[in-house]
Amino acid sequence: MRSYEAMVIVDARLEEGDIQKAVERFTAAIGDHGGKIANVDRWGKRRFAFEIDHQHEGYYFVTTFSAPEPAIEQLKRTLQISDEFIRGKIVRPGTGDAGK
Amino acid sequence: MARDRDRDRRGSKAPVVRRGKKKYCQFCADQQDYVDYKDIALLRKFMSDRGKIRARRVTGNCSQHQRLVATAVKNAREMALLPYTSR
Repeated sequence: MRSYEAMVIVDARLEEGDIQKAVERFTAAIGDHGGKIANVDRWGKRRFAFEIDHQHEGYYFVTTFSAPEPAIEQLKRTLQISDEFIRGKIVRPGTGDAGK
Repeated sequence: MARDRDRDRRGSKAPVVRRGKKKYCQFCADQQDYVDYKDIALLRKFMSDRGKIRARRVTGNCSQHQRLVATAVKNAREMALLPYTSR
């Protein structure tokens, strides 16, 4: 188990309820892969520094958790596959390394 | 006179010595060994108005911390927290 920090951008065009569901889906996925969530920090809607897929804002949340290493690949996959997540990044806090 | 000195230097190979304020690495002074990519206000200090990362000779960072700043800026860019460029 190692500690990680994930920042995820959820599509802000979704309804408020759907956004919260998307957040829960991601945090639940961490649990499913044997991880433990320490904290979820919802930043809320935020303007992008540049346009992504013709959108100007997204719903940001940051979660710190500990998980076994193989779980990270799976989580990255979920971030890429699901439509509601625009972008995501998993890093090891304190090192700045991308989830390795 | 400054002008005379400049004239004397013409043609000679003597290097022009420019001494400004001594720069120091802010992170070494604070004993920080990690630069958070989420701290946009901090990272902006190391960027130009156009969104480019400032050179080490400008910021005064040590090479280790400059590298951390650079990767942090790049991470922040990926998450659309900072611009890649802004004309």
